[in-house]
Amino acid sequence: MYCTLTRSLQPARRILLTSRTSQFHSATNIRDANNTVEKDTPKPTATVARQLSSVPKGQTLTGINFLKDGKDPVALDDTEYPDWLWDLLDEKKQKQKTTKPNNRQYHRKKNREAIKAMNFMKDKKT
Amino acid sequence: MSKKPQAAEALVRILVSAGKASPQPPVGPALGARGVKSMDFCKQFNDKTKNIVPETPIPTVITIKPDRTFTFVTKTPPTTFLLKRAAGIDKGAQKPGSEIVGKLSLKHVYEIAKIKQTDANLKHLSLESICGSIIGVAKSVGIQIVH
Repeated sequence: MYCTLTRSLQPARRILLTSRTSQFHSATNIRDANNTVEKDTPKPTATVARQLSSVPKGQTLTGINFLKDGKDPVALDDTEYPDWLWDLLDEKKQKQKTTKPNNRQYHRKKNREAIKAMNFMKDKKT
Repeated sequence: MSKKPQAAEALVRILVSAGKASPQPPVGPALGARGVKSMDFCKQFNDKTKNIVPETPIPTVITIKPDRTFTFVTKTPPTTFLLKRAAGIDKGAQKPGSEIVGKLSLKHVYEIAKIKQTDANLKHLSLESICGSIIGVAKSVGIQIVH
């Protein structure tokens, strides 16, 4: 499976190589350059496994504008939106936020637990 | 040296359709009861909202001073209104949670959050937290948010 993928990628790579490396390598070295380049070119850094948005770039987001002289906003590319936007639907990640002290829910939870503990201790005395 | 405490300013919260304020209910009695000439308010309100698409509900807070003069503040349309319109539905779900009546993308949520952040009450909040509350509102209306 992987082999077929690289095979389909190679032609594109070869084109890029010839334009870029022709300054440095002679025409006969293209094959060598090709082989070595597979080590040289950095593999695409593992991007966060992100479900692609259902709204493609360029689609107008209808019904959001409410000004007479305004227009409905147009969807941008997925990468142009802030990273946190794609984590909003991930329940685990949202819950993780409450474990960090810069979060209001963290402090509220802590306070509630402290109150419960106090009440428990008070009850024990009576 | 004691001063009489100033009579409290009255606050009136109303939801008015942009450009359609009229002395009739709901605006008329609410203001008239407090001694404010509703015609004055209507003119000022319609003037302020003339750039907004008609029939958009605009929450306003009218502060009525003891001498019957008033000032008012308009806010962004309700989130449920924006969500329903973006999803192309008229009414929310009868049983939100078990019923889904519309679907929106996170990109819609982002754009709506940008509108909401222009509101004075929400200016200090991060876009992230506003998006979070919009997703919560969508849940209560029966709109599913997807990627």
